[in-house]
Amino acid sequence: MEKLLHVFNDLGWQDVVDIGLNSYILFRFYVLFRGTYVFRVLIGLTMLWFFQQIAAYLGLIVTSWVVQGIVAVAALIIVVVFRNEIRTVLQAKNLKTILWGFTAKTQAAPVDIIADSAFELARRWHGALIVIPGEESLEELVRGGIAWNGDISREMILSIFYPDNPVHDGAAVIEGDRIPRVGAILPLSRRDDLPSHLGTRHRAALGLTEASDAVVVVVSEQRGEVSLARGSRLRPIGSRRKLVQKLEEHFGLAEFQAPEQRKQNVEIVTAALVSLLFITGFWFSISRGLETLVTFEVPIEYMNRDPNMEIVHASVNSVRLNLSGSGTLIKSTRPDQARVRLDLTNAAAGPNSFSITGSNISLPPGILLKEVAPQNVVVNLDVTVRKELPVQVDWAGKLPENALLAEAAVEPARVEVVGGKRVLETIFTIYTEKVPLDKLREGGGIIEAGLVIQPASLKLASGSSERVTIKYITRRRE
Amino acid sequence: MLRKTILMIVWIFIAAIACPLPTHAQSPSRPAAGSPAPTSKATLIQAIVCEDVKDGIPYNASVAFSISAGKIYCFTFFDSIVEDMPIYHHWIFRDRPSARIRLGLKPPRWTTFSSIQLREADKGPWRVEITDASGRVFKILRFSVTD
Repeated sequence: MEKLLHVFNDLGWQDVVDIGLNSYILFRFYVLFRGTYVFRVLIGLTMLWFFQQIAAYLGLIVTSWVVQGIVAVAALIIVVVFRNEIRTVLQAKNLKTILWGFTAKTQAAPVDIIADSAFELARRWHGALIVIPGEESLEELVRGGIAWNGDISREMILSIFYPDNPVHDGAAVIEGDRIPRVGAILPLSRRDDLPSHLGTRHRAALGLTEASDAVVVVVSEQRGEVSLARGSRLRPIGSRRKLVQKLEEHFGLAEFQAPEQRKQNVEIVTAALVSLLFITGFWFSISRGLETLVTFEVPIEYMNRDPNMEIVHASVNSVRLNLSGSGTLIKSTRPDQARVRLDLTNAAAGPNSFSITGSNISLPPGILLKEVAPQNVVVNLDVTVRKELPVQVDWAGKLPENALLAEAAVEPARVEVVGGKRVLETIFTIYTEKVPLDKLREGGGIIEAGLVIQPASLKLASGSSERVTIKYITRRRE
Repeated sequence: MLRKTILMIVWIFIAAIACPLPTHAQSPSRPAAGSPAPTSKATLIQAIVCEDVKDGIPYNASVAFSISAGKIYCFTFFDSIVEDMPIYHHWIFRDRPSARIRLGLKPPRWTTFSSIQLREADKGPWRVEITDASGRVFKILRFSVTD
């Protein structure tokens, strides 16, 4: 118990936000895809993943490997196979619906008239498609049709869907107590998991409700049944009372929660809780799993250096970070994700000692610092200055026995060097690279040689050549 | 002759325990050609690094000396010396002082020289800075010790 409390005490606000955010994403995923074939496949994939984890835990190497492969391939396949369903959810619905969306209801329509008409049409085996919009605009989805703009009445609806009426095959759109359009064409659902007995009328009803927050009352002329399409679900409605209740729920008119509504609410709350529990468990399994240790050699980064100063020398260029975390996190952590930064804002010319603490080190979330070595770094800073220095030839090798190098003149005789003041105080000459004597011509000549700028912190000033010309004269030995 | 022999024995003894070993000698000079380097109390007429100095005359002046030469000399000739004064030959190897040799000048003109014994580790670029007691530089001679 104490250990459990300790675990929760360790939780930071980032961890709570992390769990909350991902739980909500999972919950919204459920809300958006519930009832679709995609959701069922996703549940299957999740179970496979759990199975793989258990297999790995039990040491079933091949089983774990095979299941892992199936999950990886299936995740790719699901995107390809169900692209239409995913597109429907992500594109057709507006952002509010995706992020928040329990649809607020709009202008109420006379639900009694609609319910009476639907069941009367069913009794006569007349097919019908009645669209009742929600909050979202249907402009993009509902095409064609004839403007009607008639007041709604039972007789009017029966008349629209009378088989000899030219517009009876299309959909009637109801807005408030009016029917603005009849004979409208709805988008067809692309789902391939619909029962075969459902015809084009039902597919059209689902096509619209999958892409919007509207509901569609469908009357089958083959079976004389009334169904209600909402979201990705198409449910048969057995009674007029039930249809009234469902339509009232859609319009937010129900004064009390019907059992179905209560059931739906329980389902939503359960889904929210399961999402929270799942993500919490997943989070703890990743971030608080068995502790694993790893050591990274991380280079030190220096920040806010005075532009007039340069780092001449540092006691170390990198530090060893001893890190801990769950095996999963440690395995996915790369050395370049750990950074050690030293702030040189207050550093002065000369040696500066810094202690490396947690505030200098940034690590990926969930990774903890156990130890850093060395804990102190001495950084030698120096003011950048320019200095003109003479150039001297560094002769090497050997001349013939009877010859000697009488004179040598270097051009340019001096070069300007940029570097740390303290370093340049100890430098009085810039030497050339080794110039071999055995390649000199008898009598004299001109050769070129490169300059050796040492230590590496020094640089030639812009405009100074990196090579010099040497004019020389050789003579016979006396 | 006796003085020369004693000097040589002392020189060999010191060379055995510390190298490069500077040595020096001085004598009244003969005039020689060269660019004068004006100072307040003396003018440098000639300054060279050479393989040998015999009877006040430098031999085989060069800017690159084989280590096999064993010993090299810095020869200087001063004119217009007003009074007795010291000068210094600073032998510097790769910007690190190796030897500082004090030499005396006497009016009105004077030649003087110093030398160092070469070791294997002395290969590389050298320079000799010729200064007065106050540090004023008469001339800098640059050369290399090679294979």
